[in-house]
Amino acid sequence: MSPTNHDHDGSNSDEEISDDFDAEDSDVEYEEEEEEAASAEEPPLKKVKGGDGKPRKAPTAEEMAHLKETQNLFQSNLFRMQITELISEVQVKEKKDLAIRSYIEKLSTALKELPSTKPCTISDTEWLTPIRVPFSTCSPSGKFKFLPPKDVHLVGSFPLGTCMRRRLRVDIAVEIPKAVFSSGDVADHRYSLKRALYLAAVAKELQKSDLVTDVKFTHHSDNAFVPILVLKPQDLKGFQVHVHATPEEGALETEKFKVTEDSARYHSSALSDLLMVSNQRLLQRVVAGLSGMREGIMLLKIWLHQRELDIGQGGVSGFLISMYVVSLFVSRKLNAQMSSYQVFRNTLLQLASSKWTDIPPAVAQIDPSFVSDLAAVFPVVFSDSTGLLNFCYLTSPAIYDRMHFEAEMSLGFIDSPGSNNFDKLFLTPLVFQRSFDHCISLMKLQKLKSIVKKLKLESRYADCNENVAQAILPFVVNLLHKALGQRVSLLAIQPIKPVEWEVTEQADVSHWSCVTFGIILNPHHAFTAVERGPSADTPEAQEFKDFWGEKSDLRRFRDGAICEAVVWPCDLISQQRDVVVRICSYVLQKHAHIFSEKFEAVVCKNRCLDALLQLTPDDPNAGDEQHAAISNAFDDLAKQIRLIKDFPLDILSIQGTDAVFRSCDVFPSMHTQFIQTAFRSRKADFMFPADKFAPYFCPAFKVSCLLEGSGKWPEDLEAVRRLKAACYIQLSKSLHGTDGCIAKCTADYVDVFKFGHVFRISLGYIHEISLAKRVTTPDGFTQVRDTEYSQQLQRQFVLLPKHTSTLHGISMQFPHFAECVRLCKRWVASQLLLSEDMLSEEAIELICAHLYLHPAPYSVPRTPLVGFLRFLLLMSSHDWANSPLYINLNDEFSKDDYTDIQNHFTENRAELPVMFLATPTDKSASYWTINGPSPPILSRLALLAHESLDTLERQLSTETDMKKFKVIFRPPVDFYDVTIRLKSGYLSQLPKNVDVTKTPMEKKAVDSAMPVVDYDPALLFLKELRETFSDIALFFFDCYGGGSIYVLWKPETKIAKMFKVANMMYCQPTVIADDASPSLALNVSAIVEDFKIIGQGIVEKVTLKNA
Amino acid sequence: MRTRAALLPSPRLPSNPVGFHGIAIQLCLKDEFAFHLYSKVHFADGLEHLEEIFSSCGKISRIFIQKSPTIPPDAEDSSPFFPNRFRTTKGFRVAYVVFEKSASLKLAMKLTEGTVPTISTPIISGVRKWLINYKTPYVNTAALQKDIDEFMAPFEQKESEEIRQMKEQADQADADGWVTVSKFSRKKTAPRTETQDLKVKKKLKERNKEKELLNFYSFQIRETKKNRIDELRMKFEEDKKRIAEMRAERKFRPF
Repeated sequence: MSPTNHDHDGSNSDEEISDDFDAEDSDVEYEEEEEEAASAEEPPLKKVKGGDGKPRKAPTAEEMAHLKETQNLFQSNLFRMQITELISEVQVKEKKDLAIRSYIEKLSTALKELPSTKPCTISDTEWLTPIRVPFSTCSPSGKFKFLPPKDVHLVGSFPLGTCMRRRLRVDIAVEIPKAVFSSGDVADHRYSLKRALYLAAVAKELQKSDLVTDVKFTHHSDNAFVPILVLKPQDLKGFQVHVHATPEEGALETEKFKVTEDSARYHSSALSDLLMVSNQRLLQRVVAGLSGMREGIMLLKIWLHQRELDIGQGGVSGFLISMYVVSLFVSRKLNAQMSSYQVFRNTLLQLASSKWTDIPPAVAQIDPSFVSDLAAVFPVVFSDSTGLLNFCYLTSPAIYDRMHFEAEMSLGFIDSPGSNNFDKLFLTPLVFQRSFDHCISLMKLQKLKSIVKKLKLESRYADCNENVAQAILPFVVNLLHKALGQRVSLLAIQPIKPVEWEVTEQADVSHWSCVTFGIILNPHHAFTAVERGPSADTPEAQEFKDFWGEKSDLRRFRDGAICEAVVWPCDLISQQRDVVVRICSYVLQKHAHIFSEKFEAVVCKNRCLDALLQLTPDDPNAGDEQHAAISNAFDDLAKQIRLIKDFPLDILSIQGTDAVFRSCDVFPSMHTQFIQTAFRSRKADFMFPADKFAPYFCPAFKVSCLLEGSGKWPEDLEAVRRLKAACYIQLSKSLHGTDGCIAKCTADYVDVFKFGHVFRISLGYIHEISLAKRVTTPDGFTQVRDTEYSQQLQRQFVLLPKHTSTLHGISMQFPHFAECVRLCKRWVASQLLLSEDMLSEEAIELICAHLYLHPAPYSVPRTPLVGFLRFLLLMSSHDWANSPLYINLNDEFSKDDYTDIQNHFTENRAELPVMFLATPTDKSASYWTINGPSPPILSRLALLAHESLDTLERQLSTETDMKKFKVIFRPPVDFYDVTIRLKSGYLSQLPKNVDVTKTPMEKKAVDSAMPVVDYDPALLFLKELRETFSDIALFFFDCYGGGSIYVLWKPETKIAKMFKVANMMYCQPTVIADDASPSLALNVSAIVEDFKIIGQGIVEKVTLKNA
Repeated sequence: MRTRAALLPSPRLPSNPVGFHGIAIQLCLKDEFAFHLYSKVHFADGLEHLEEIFSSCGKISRIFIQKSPTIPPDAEDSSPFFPNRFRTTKGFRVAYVVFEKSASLKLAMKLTEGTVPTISTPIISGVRKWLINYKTPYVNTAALQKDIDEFMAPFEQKESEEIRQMKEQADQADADGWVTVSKFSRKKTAPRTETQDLKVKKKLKERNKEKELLNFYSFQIRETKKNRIDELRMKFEEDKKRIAEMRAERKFRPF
């Protein structure tokens, strides 16, 4: 449903129910009960027996009203209650409010009694020592004399009641008397200087006062023209007082500050001071007394804050959004009866559906010429009632665009069923790095002063109070927009938090040395290598050529047109995702003279984790190509199988079931990159491993081949097995030798070697599953029960093929999905938790699918890195105990499904897997997590994910050494009880290891014999250990080249057990006292001996934790 | 019927390389005597090693190896190419050694240490075992085919025989006048399966439901309306509960 449908009421809930209520009142006879309720104070309501035998009351009028209101004014009951809770959580308590008000009372009396000073020239600041004036400008002439403030006003959110309890700031404005200013103070930034001097004088006096403990300066909205005082009150905790200075009404004429291009910021800053009190009055008029309005503004403020939109220069502050709400109220888009939710929702709707850059909003009807004057100077305009001041005078289009984008996003998911929309709207902080596909930082900007001159931005430089970053920012944003065009959906700037500094020090602007841009890619255009320009003979061609310089070339396109074009060569699919970054650094260098090489000025860390998926140093990260090659070989093979003549049964389907067929294998074809010649012997067409070392690993990709049901199949599992074996013999005979294939037949599968890859084909037929399920009781009654074998068949021939085709579809739908999955699997494996009984590959794939199908409140990840960040976030924060994870594959969930699944989940919570993944084809079982993770493993996973996310995000913002990014892929191992070090000669997957020194790739000829397949002694050892000791210990191993197996005793083994036959296993009796019966304890030393025997040859060393 | 007669664990039970984890002895009140021994996996199949240990005590009639005392031993493999798929005996196992003479048992109970001479019958484990296992599936297709044929021929024969018999018996009354019904009978019968059973029950239920009139009496209408309000109230209460839980988890802290 489109969001515009909700223009007036907040909910789309079915109206029939509320109609029903009306009918209810008249129809059902409750009158007598109501009368009774009215007559008695205590409600001894006549209890009517309900259908379920419980007593029930008639609904009171109040209750009916409440229920009705909820349906009309709020999305749902739960949503309403959540809003109420949230508001009561953030708003200032009454007691505190009173305390603050009385404190401000005292403070303003003190301020009004400040002594005046002697007049002096404004360049002379001797009298202020040690206070430093928080404003620097080339010394203008003039006089200054401090006079006590005319009045002190409470301004901002506190008097409106829209402020937040946390980090509470109470704004007051001291009114500077008329006499301080003279008529010529508009020029030379003299107004700002006098204002700063006035505040410095106030600061000097306040330092002595016992009302405050600490006085600091900061810039309001990080605007250098508007320093303000930050006071920490004595005796009262939990809030700060921000002291603004405003000229007395009529002290300066507002018309004199009409903005021009050169003085946009200075004049606007002055205007916002001059109009502060009157704007506050306007706010007070609209908001005061309307709780819906007040709480709606609070919701909006929380929403903005979670998106970091209210921070820093040009941020959408509480003041700005309140003004916008007022403007909507004035233009009758909002009315006084609206609930907080409706105010919030309608404001969001307006934000999303209007473009301030096209039609600037205003708080009053004003002359369009005023607006066009403002629009000529500012990119984003929101005019005040005088038409002189643009509230958004600092707002960069990048900030506005983000707000617009976020509003659209939020409306996109606000009504979506099944997800916790409330959390996503108000409780989830959208950290910058997690929200954007690429983050590009411009570093060390203070060194780039020369650029200002080159770009001819001197006047703006002066208007930005000589801040390089602020001066060049609009130019850079425009440049990037022009260069990237349709490739990006959003270009945003990371907000920079303003700093506070001591009043005795100089203003601090060091936080402006680095600016970070966030980019959300548009998947339809972002990855194309060719940028098609205008046709060669048009005048725009020259402009295009000038812009792109030597990159631009004439090209002939398929439709016959000859156009200017820019090509960003991409040999590999993985290089496509860099195109945007390459464009940025190219144009920054060409047009903004910011060189990425020289200063390391342009930094984008999008490739920081690439090394984890590479096997050799020069490996070009060609996972996508390798997957494609394997799937081509497989398609070829499938064709070949279908062409086999006189195969006894028809083949219904041939489907791969391994991760490689979903493009989600972490290292799809290591075996084609590493020669397997050493350490094996050849017998006919087949290679065999030798015993000294293990050859490099070659996987057998599993293929399930479904045969038709037919009368030929016997009704007996053992006979079916024989029949299938006969088919294998025939299959291998037909394939062997044809088209370069080598086939090996066994009793349970056929291995086929083709184009360097080995496929393991299994045959099955659907009826076999029900055959395996059939259990006959002694009295001849046939029951259907899941057996181990039926489950195995079900998995192999039904579930895995389905999962594979669905996931393959998703990896086709979302570019770089597969690489994100590979990264996540690599991380889980390196934390030693990737295994069937901990976290299975399929589960990881589904979780990643969730990230792509349900990205809210973020947008769909378009780079593997941001996908990985969100995976870590999800793993560390999802509330598995109370909510299933929905994966709406193929968009097949209906609205009711979500409630059904949730109900089923809550009812059967104890029996269901701890990690519950719900898909349209698996709504009640969560098949891929049945075997694990167990609760302790899941909580460990969450912990590791949390730490890794923290580390990675810190590194992304500060770390420059790419090698150090491996740190989150090194597991903490000191808490395992036993470490079994393996001999590296038997590690057939060693090149996949995170830290192994990578050797360069050798050229490889295609094998003439089938390589050693599916032979990894380390995994065989692990399997045997798990089979043997699964009752007492957990085994941890990085299946991608890990060098040690880690063992953890299960906690129950630490308790001594009764000496009983059933308890004997793995145990030895402890020392027996004379009479007492002996107890049993784990026979650790014997078990360790066993480890060595089971792993004879491969075990290098077994270390116990405390030894 | 077993009674526990004695438990004689040796306090100095060894941790020798192939050491047992303990010897527990049970007496059977049958004419056979059993010996419980907790053995370990990596005796490739274990049998010959056990035999070696206990043969010193007397002649052994049989040895059973099973997963635990309550799980019956696995069926034996019928063919070298098609080993039993449902092998339960992996990892730690229980073995029953049955001696021919009870005197041997007394001797065996005095055993405190059993060493398997690893030279004559070496334990194959680790890399060597995996190398052998790697080669096992590489079978001779001709031999495999022969094995299949050997299984299938009698199987098919038996099957066709059964069919023939059933066809013959179909619709023919036995001495008491009873007719055995099978799928070859002229009158088809419902198969005796669980799914069929459920189907019938479901059909019955549906049929009963169809007969009911829900919107007939005014009390029914009133009742449904009341129920709806109840439902809404219940939801309201549930929501309240959920909110309380969320509050307890401090879920409403946006910053």
